[in-house]
Amino acid sequence: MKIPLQMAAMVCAALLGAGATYLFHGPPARGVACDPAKLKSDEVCLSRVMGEWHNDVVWVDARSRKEWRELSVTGSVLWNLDTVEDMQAFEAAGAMRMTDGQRVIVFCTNENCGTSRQVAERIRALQFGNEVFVLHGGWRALASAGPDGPPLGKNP
Amino acid sequence: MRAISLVLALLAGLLQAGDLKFEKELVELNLKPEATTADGDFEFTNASDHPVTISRVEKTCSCLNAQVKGGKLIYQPGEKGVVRAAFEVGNIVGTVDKTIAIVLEKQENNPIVLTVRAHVPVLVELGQKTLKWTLNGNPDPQKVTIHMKYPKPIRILKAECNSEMFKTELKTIKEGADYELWITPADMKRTTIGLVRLETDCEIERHKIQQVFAVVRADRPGEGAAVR
Repeated sequence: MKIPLQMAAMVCAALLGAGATYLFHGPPARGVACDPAKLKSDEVCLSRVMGEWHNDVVWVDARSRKEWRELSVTGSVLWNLDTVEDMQAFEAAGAMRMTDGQRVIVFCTNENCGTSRQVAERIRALQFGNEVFVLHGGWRALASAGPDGPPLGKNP
Repeated sequence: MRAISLVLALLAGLLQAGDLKFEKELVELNLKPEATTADGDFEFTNASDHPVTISRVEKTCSCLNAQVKGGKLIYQPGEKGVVRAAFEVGNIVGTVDKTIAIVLEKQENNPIVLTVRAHVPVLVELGQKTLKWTLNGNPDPQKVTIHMKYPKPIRILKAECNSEMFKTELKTIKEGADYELWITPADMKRTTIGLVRLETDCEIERHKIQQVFAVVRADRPGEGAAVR
């Protein structure tokens, strides 16, 4: 009988602690945490893109065509490494958008997908001269940003 | 105190759950130019002292088919198995990484990530992909060298620019092996981009068409210092 009581006491203590934290600090942040000090050299935080750069960038979606169509950053360029896609068409479409010299931000599904880094490397290899970054947190960061992120919409 | 011990024991059990050890988590595939598919095997052993169940194998690309050899999903301690990844080359040229996630029972949030790195040979090597001229600068012709890296000759049949703002001239250095594409801008007073499409007779579809970009634009501060 002692064990259930002790466990119940532990659960109550944990709940009280959680309640107090919620009361003083508010609900948990749903966005993707991004510490500039811990970024890899080619990564950027969404807050910097939206704040310091005022979203004046070319967004490149490295997810699948289906995901890009359903919901992505408005005006983003699709450029993934799906082998059924036409890589030359991605290059051409990307090139037409990158002539103004804006920074290029590539994202894929999340921080572990790896495709965004490979696409960024391919864009750099074209030598358009734009600075190319990978978005920390990928689509997860964009989807959870709400009004703090760029506008999202469907693509044709 | 006993309750705390019980909780700790439960936690320890969870941490131990499903301990598949893979010999390699990265498999490199060096493909032949003609290859359309390639297989890579990831061998593993159940290094834990209890049975391990593979819940599912997730892939990140429709070009990758991954499954546990023989369809076997439960592995006893010490038992070995193989995850086979079949990569479809499609239109990819160069090096590409594709990942597979092995999700184990009771470890849904901590998948084992395996990488297939495919090296697809580049048969048509372009010295540069983009030629640049400075706005209001000199319209000096610039060239792109083109070298074929294939035992059979690859001829360039056509070189066409989508913009009248650039003139193109294709020079054959060695038929089927080496070429030079010369591009000259016609107007240096406005920002322009042109796409030169090179059509070859390469028998492998993904190498048939190549493209080069020609750009006239203002210099950018710090150009060439793009993040790497």
